Amino acid sequence: MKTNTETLPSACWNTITTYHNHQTKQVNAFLKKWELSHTMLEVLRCLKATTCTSQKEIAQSIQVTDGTISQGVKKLFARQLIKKYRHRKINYFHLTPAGELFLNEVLPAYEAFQAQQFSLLSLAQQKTLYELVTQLHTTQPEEGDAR
Amino acid sequence: MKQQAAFSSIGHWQSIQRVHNRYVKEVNDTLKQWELSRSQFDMLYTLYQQRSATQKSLEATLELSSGSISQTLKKLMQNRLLMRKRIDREKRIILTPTGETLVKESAPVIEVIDERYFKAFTPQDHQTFNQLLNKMQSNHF
Repeated sequence: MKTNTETLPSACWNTITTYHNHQTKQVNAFLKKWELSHTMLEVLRCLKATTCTSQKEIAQSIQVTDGTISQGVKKLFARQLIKKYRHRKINYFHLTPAGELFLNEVLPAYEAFQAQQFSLLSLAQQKTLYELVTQLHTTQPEEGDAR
Repeated sequence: MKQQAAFSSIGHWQSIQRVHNRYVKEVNDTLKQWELSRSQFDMLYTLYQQRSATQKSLEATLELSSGSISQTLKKLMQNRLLMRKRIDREKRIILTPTGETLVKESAPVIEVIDERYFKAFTPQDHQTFNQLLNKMQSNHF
């Protein structure tokens, strides 16, 4: 270990985690009126982007564990926002027409909400932050190579 | 006139979230070999740096609720990695020798992961990055 003082990267990670936890809380509070959690919305968005996919692929795509999304998937299924079909022992999901309509209603409001969250930064600052976060992604090995 | 972002704010948030989730998963996977979670490691690491702490000061440093602090403390004490000690009439928490050995062994491995993500950052980038993220949290809508 280098020093007894916190290194810059670990200090930055603490900042990211604090920000992430803070922001997730805000998002969940915002989505409450649609009875959605952040994870559930991410599942719907993932299904909108790719026509149909398995639970494992959804989890990988939004970078959480299978267990994290399974509750949300069940609820979305019960609300008939998503449908599943089974192929070779794997459940694949896709949006129902009702799910599409629902997402079309939620997404513009959600984008406006996120824009409001970022509006504390000037456009130049938003751009800087975006570039710095992109750098964090690009210094990583390709997905799949990661341990 | 209202400013319009040139890119999607959802995409911006998603990008931050993805890198965070990826990092947390990697750290948790790595810490499994010492049977630690990230929150347990953070507490041990803080105590290693500060030498001793009170439950209250840990809450402030780790920015966690008193509930999750006491749960983590309990677990780490059960595993004999931490202990309570009275120092200057104050009940403080310190690492046991086993706890200290564990931090010395695991921290360099985690530091390598921490640094790998930030390897393209200059010290100025670190400062800007922290400032911007902190500024984003000053909102109370």
